[in-house]
Amino acid sequence: MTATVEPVAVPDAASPSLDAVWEDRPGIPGFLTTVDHKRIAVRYLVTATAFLFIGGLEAMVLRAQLAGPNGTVVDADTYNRIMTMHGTTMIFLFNTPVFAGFGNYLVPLLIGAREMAFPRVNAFSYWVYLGSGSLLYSSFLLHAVPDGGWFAYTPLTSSAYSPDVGLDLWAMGIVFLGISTTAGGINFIVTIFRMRAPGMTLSRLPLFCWAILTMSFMIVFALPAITLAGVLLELDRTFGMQFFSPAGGGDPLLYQHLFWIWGHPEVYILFIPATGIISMVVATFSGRRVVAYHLVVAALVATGFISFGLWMHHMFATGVPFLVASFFSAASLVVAIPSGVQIFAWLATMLTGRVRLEVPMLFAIGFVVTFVIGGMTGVMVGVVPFDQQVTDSYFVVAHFHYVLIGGTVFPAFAGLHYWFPKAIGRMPSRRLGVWSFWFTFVGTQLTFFPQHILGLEGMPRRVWTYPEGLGWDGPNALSTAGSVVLGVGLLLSVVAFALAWRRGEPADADPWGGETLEWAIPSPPPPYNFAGVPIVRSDAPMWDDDPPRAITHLDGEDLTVPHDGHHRAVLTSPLDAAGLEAVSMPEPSYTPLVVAGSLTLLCVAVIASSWPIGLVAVVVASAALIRWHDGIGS
Amino acid sequence: MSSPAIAPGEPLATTAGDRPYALARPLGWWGVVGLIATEATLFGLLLFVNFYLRANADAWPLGDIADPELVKSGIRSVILVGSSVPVALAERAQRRGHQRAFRRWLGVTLALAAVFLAGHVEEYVTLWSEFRPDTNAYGSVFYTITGLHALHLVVGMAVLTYLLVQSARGRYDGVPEPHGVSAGILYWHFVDAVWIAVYTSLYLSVTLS
Repeated sequence: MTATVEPVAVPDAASPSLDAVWEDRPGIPGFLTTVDHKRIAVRYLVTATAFLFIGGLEAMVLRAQLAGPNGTVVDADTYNRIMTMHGTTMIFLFNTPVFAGFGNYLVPLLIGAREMAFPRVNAFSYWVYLGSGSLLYSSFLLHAVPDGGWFAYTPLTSSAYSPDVGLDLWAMGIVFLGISTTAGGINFIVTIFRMRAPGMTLSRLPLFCWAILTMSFMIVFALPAITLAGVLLELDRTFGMQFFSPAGGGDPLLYQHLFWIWGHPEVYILFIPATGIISMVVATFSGRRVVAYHLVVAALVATGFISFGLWMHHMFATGVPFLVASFFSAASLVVAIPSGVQIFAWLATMLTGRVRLEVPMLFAIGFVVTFVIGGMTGVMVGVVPFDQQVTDSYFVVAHFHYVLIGGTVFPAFAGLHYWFPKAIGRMPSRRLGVWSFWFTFVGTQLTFFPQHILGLEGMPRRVWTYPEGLGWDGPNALSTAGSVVLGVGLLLSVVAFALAWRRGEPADADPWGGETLEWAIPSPPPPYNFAGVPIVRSDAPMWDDDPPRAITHLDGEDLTVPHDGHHRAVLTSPLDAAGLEAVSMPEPSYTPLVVAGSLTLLCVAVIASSWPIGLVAVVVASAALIRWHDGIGS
Repeated sequence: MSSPAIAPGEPLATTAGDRPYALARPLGWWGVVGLIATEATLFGLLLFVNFYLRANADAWPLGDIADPELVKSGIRSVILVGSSVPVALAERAQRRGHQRAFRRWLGVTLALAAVFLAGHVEEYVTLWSEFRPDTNAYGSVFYTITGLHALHLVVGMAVLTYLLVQSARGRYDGVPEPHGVSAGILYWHFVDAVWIAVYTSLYLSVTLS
């Protein structure tokens, strides 16, 4: 291999002639065929944010019903359905995909790559996400909204007690979405191991990418459990199988095991990428690298491992043996340690840096405060006797909303404000952002802090109403008022983004003074990201003394000009990012959309028990897969 | 301007020619490794379901169902697991550029798989009159796990057939490392390996205990 290195700043190498090869076709065909990770990522982020507001509206209905005793906004049955959709939407359709969106946008940029490893799989993942979201929400049109809670425990969800099609849509939607999440996870792993810029050894990998890498490994090993829970539930419901039915030798508790073997790692699948965002934001706005990089990486990986040994703490009240409960209780306390390591690393970074209170940093600080409160109640409910007092009470609701809103919504909005200028090329209003932060922060505390007290006073979760005179009226009213404030806060950010998108101040390449490679290229980035392959010499390449350099010629090929009209990208070795090799990447195609569409049809066929539709779906999917594969250059 | 001012120790010294073979694997191969990891977890969890229900049962199989038969299923298993040999020979022939031998060994592999599958169908036909997936939890576990494995086998056969057709169409002539070959063959080894775990858990350990 021979390579030429131009001692030029990376942005100056931008080459208009590469646009001709990398730019999507205009209009609808380009929209449907694109494999550009940035366009797909923006789609993920927009769709996930839309689901955040749909799930938020559902939450407002629940809060309106519970604002005072004997509420009459919705009846018990509607309450159960809306509660189920609120939880399902927030976990499956907002929280998981929003970080897939961030990962998609940022991983190639942060590692100096032009593409994801599997661009078409990436497009496919998004279409499947959209398909499964549509499947779940089609239950509204069919007047069969699922009502088994977001966890869908049997036997409540067996066909005897939940006869309508809503739960079938739930189970198939979740199984189907798992394909999207898993494909995305594998895509991130291969991208990070094979496409890092030369010189970016694993110990120079940006913390955000470490977080996405950890999350992806967790997805690969945790997602099969929810897939299996959904499939077995559907087999019981549709084909009369007996996995969860005691009369036939099955066991309902088995469902809970499968659900939580996924469900507890899932909490960290949501939280770990969020910490990746926080590490980037805290470093930039403290003006220094995150303290103790290696310890933070170790903490991420440790969290990933430990999270697989926690699942039974969701089942302390089901009568699991004392010794087993003790083990899971101990593990639940241990997992607080790596989270604590990260928190202290960020605090030390802020203390020893020069903090700039820009909007992303406000959200990051709001995250630390809110998450620490949720983490402390987490340690409390990790202790078996305490858990048995508060289980199934509002204390638990307060705990996990602090963790999820603090641990994922605040970081997501920190990330949106931080990278919006990069992605769109315009600055969102700081004024609106600051207002948004304070409304969101105050709203979160107002909504969820009183719920701790409600739980300790004995209010059970999942109830649709309560009588007066129990002392629950005040905290409930406060909580409902807070939810309005919270909703306004998040809406203000969206308003800020919408206004900026239309007529914001133009953003330059590096408006915040960031440390990583995405700030080396123009805002918004060109479709090929980097004209030359950046060379990385540290874990904060933008803060090196000399500007980043780029490889422009590799084995006689000029990388900055089109090469036979193909998308060319550079592969490197998995651990030390050496041994460069230029390869042609898959180009835009309709096939990911067709395969995702026919798999959606297959789900419909399973729910409707229609063999002909199923057969058509399989044939179309197979034909499209062959075409997909044939179209990839060798 | 083109002075390679790279400090000593910068990773530009390696050449594409002398990479270890593992690194030369195409991206698709790495993707299939990920797929296998997640699918192996899925099968592992299914076997967990099997042992969980079995541990809670007084007798396994439940009810009046007889123990699984071992002779015919044992022969079938040897045939399937043995098919990893011709598929490995096919991969070697491919790497040496021998397209005809590649197709011949793929054909042998597919024939062995077809024998296994035929035995599978025969077994289902026999057992169907004795118990079904909805008879009890044993039936659910047995048919679901063996059925899911059969589905994987059919997908694997489709992939190998695709590779065979591509080779016959001359698409691989002169291509040093055709897209999808090593990935498809790795997947086949996985389908074989899973059967060892399934056969041990659902047949051997039931009848022999």
